[in-house]
Amino acid sequence: MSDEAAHSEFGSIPGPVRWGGSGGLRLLRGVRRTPVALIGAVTIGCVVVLALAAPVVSPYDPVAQIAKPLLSPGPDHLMGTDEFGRDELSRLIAGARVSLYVGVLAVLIALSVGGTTGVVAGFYGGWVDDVTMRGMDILLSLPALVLAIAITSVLGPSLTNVMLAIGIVYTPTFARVARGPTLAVVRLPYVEAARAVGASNLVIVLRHVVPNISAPILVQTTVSLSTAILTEAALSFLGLGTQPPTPSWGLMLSAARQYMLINPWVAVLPGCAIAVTVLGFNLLGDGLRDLLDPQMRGR
Amino acid sequence: MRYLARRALWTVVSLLGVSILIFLLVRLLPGDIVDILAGTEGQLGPAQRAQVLRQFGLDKPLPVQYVRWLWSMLQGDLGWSFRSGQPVGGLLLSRLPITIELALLTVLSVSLLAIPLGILASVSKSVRIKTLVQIVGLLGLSVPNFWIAVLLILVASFLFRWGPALIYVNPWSDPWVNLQQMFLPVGSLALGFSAVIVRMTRSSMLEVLGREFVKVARAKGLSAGAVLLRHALFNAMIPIVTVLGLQTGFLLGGVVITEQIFGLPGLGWTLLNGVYQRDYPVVQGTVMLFAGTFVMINLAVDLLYTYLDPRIRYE
Amino acid sequence: MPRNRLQSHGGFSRRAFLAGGMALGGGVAGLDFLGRSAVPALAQSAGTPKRGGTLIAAQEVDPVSLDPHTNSNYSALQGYEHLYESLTGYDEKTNIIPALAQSWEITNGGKTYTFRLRPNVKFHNGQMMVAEDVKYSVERILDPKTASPWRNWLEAIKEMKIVDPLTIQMHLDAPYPALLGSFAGMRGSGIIPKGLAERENLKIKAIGTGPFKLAEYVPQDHITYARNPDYWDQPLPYLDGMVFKVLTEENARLAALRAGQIEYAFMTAQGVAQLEGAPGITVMKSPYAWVVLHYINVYAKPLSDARVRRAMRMAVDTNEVIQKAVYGAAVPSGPIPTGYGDWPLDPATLPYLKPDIPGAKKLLAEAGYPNGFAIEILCSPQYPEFVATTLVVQEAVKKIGVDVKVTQLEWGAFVATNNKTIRSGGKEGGQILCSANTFRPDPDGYIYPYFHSQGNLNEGGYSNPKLDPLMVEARTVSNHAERWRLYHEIQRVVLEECPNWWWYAKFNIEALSSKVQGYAQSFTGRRIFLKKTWLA
Repeated sequence: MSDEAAHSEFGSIPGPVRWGGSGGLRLLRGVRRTPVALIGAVTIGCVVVLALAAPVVSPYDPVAQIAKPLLSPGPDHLMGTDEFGRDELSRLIAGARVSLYVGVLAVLIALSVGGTTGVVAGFYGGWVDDVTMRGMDILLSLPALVLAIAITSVLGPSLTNVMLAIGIVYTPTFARVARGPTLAVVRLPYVEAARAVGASNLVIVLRHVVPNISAPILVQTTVSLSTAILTEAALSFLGLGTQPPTPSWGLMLSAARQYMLINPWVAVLPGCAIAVTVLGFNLLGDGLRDLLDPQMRGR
Repeated sequence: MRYLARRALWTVVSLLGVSILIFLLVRLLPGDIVDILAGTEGQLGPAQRAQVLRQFGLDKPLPVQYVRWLWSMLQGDLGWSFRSGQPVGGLLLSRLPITIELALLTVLSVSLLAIPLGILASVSKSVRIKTLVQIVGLLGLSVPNFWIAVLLILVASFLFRWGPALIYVNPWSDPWVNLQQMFLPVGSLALGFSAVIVRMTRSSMLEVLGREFVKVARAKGLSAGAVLLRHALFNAMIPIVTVLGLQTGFLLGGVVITEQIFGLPGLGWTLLNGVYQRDYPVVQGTVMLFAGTFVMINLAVDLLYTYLDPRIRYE
Repeated sequence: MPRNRLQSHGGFSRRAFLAGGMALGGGVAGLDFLGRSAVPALAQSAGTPKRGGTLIAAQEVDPVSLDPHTNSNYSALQGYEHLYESLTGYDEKTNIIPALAQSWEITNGGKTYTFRLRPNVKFHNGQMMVAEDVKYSVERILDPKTASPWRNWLEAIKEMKIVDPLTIQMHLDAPYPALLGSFAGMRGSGIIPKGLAERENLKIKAIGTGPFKLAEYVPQDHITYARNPDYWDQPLPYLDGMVFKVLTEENARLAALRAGQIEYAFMTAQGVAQLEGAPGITVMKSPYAWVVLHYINVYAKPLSDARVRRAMRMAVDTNEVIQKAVYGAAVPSGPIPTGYGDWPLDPATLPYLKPDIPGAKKLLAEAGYPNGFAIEILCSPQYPEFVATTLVVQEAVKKIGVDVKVTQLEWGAFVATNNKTIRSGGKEGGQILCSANTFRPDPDGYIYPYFHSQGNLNEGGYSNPKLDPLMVEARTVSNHAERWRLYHEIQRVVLEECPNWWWYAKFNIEALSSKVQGYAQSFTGRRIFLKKTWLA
């Protein structure tokens, strides 16, 4: 298997990643050795665990208005209470659930739809490539936030529609990421040979294309996860994202705007939560990119 | 040449596609200008509703509306705002400079800060420095920029008792006042944007530094500094410029909330307001402007790339 | 004399006006401030007025358009109210006073109004105001082609006759005591020069008789006003000009006030709490005509049953709503806002001030829903206090088994749903919608359109055959005592039946730089008295 990395307008394309057996283990060991990726992975891990364990770990019901509003952190409420008297800590933990849920599903949508589109475009080339990529360009021409606003307004406000909107907005990015390596791989001599011999397209895609796009797709996934969380926050800030009283960090930030000087905790904590989570994804993405880039393998 | 022609053709098709998309999307939004005019307290009977729709040409069948709009647009007329009655073209032209200035200043300030950081991260031998730069750089990207914006406003006013002049002054009349007005908004945008550039610079530099010709130059005996400046940086610039071009869309999107919070009458705020007010001509016009700009930049970057890096071949 | 007669129609009695400026206590506890007979405190009105200076102010919502006849959004009114005037106006106690009409006579059983116009009033372009202009303006408002959302306020006028250049007569089909208030309300009654609408784009240009001229309007950004040197009410205005900059983000307004960038801003209670102790800033507070309520679509079950609606209302603590939605800066209110002269019911006697969970549960069970049900409430994040009110309701009715889903709609979508609900008679659209009623020149405006079977703003076709004739009588009879009796009875009944839920009348909170003198708040919520303001 040639290590020849093709070039595209996105920088060098990493060589194929072998996922099975030793490939996967090597990746994990690599993560452990790269401090950036490690920090990222650990951070995300913590957030995920918290989110999954939310019902068990939360001291109170995140939507119950049980206490005096805008309390500072104290023995009863470790992070204080919000403007309705709801426990802030419970809401932060529940918010992790919502942010991760929206982020993961939105990116999954973008990954499957965009990734497939990109592979199809790269695989068939020619006019198929032109048409699909122009379609993606059309989506990209609209400012991301405005497109998301328009989609949520049209579909109606709900968590599902927010995911859908963000997923649609990120689809072109995944299409582009998937297309580049596919284009390069498809032109390689042994792939052409395989086609000539009569191997089915599906087999070619699975055996040759997928390993080559795995690395950039993986990196892009972590990047998109981070921005998806930020986009959800922005949408909630405008009132078009998560519906109250469901806690989402963006919604909490938006509501806290009015109380910033009265009780800074309500304004600062959700922002920190977002920053930490998004930073975690970004670090992980960066670390993975370093790991998977063949130029760096030697270092 | 054939390539150029094909690209040009597809550009036109893209733009056409965008026009159809935005035309339909904006009409799918629940409610229309009549609802906005009536509000929750006013009363508009059915005859008045029909009257308003007729006045704005919204009573015609969709294809007719589309063709009319397209035809006038091709002749340079973007229609009139439903809300203010102003010609959309003039409106956009008056708002464009503000958004451009915001974007340009952000890119400039970011480049000054982020590129050196990225270079540092790529050449430094210390793992600690590399990690630190990466984290700091990425921190900016991790914080919602609307939050930073609000924090900046409050800090400036409560800690420093300072705020810029409220009515926008363009840089030609009074550059100092203008700079003050741009300072905070650019600051809030730059944080996120700089992270992208730090990352891009770093990976691009790393890639170039690993390439054959650099090793050759080192072997020839050129000092590290010379290698860095003359060869690596120049080559690394290409993808950086690419990213800067592609990020225009991202920047324009990030600008929307920033403009609203800081009260800057730019294109982003115009577009958002147009969506909220169901002002179809304004939304359609602004989106076409964005799309046109985006497509042109894309085209330019692609062509530049083809020209600069002969290894890329397109059929 | 006309003055006395009109004071008995729609004006306010001094007695009933609320103390403002100092009282912080809102909520149910704030009820003890009511009944004080003080006039709202003026901002440091010591000192003699001084000419000159430009007031820099913040406008909290984009005005969108300056046309005085075609806009229903409140922010438009805030934009054009300094530029235009009408036949009548309001004073600081919200009594109707002469404006462009110097005097008037009401004859023919209340069906004929003869207005004598003020002489020597100039429009901003130098042209003299005459009866032709008044006729033109009113005709424009009534013209269906104009599509004025406020046409109903003046539609009682069937015919106008110009007696002489300064006298105009208006003939109505039936008596309509609210007419003078409809002119003073300025939602759709500004007087413009004859033919102006055909010559100019009134959305961005303005020629009126008001104390200020339009110097510059950059939509979505700012409005600049310049003093009208020929204003008829000399020596007003004192200011050389005003600039209203659109700052939708409250923190931005807060910062600008703190840094001394602006001298006036409308604030929320939370916002102003963050100004606590800031030097050089005066805060004025008084209740005004802003009643936050939920419109209920009574077409379908379970909301068609008054017991269900009442039970849900009983479960909510009004004081908690006030504390959480507006940080305590409001007083409980019924359909007619507390403080509106003697029209509203005494808030201390309002039902539902304290929650009654057992009673609510019993009532709900009686109506056939012992285990509660699921319902959806719509609101818009454009107004965070509506969302907050709804969330308190949601939490409270959980105790009686009602499961509320809160849906935030972007404002355009919300308005569209509201209109759809009304248009379809409740068959489509939302079940419960949260919004607010602003100032109406006459109590009729809070009652008839919503609760009469033929009312234009009736959500879901609420109809009480016993109330219909009462409402019609109240809007045509001119004897104040009789109207008072009728409106009080109507309010008692609708409070029982809960076609809407009324929560509170908010405080009008305005933060001014201490340099600003002579400003007075208006119960209408408008900034009418900036024309009497000067900068120290």
